[in-house]
Amino acid sequence: MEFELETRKRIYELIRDSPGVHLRELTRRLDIVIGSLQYNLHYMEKKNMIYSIKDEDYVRYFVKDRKFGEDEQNILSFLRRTACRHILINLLQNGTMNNKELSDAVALSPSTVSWHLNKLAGSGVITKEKVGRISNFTVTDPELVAELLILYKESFLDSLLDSFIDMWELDKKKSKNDLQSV
Amino acid sequence: MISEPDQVVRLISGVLALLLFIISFLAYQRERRRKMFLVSMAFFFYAIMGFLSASNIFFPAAGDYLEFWGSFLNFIVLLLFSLALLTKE
Repeated sequence: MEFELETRKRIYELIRDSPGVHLRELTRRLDIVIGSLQYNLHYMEKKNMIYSIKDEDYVRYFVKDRKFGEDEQNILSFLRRTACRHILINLLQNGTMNNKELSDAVALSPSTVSWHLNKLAGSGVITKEKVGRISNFTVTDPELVAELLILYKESFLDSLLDSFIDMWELDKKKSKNDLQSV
Repeated sequence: MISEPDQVVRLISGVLALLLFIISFLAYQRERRRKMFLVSMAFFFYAIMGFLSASNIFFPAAGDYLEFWGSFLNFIVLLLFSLALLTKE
C-alpha cells in the first residue's frame, strides 16, 4: 500500500507539474517500468484524478480540476496535520491498529495520539471498535483517503505551523520510522 | 524621533512577537489545542508589552504608568507560558 501510494503520488505530481506529459517521458523521468506505470495511470484515470488525450502517436496526461465535497474537504483538513496524516498512513498500511501500536508507529505519546484519534473518529474519518478494554481503529473509507493522500500537497504555511507545533510537543518520542517521504 | 538603541530593539521585539502570535494563533485554529491557544495569547501579550515599552518613543510623557503595565504584562506572559507547559491534552 505504502509503495503504491508513493508511486501514484510521484506520477500525479509529475503530471501536475508537466501538463501534457506522455507515457514514455513519464517512464523515463520516474524510472518506473511501463507495466506498473500503465496500471497506476489507469487507476488514477478511473478515479478521476487525471485524464488523457490522444495526440497522434502519443497519449498525453493532464490532472483533472476537481471540486472537493464536504467529506473530502474534511479528510484533507486532517491530512494537513502531520500527526493525523501519519496516523492515517499507518492505518492504511496495517488495516486495524490500537492506540499503543499507533503511538509507537508515529512516535508520539499515547495521550497525544488519543487526542488525534478522538478527533478523527468524531468526524467519521476513522472508525473505533472496542474489543474488551482496547479500542481498535480503522479508516472508514480507505480508498478515498488513499486517493486524497495522492492529491494532497503540503504548503509552506503547513510546514511552518508543523514546525511551530513540534516545538511545543514536549512529549514526542524518538521516531521509529520516518514517514515524511510518503 | 527614535533616538535610544534599546527603544529600537524593543520595537523590533514587539514586531517579532506579533509575528509569532500570528503563527501560533493559526496553529491553534488548525489544531484547536488549548496549549496552542495559551502560547498564542502569551505572544500576543508579549507583543503588546514590546509596543508599550517602545511607546515612549511616541508618548514620552507616559513614564511610570507604562512601567507598571510593562511589569504586569511580563507576569501574564510568563504565567501563560507556564500554563501552556503544564497543559496535558
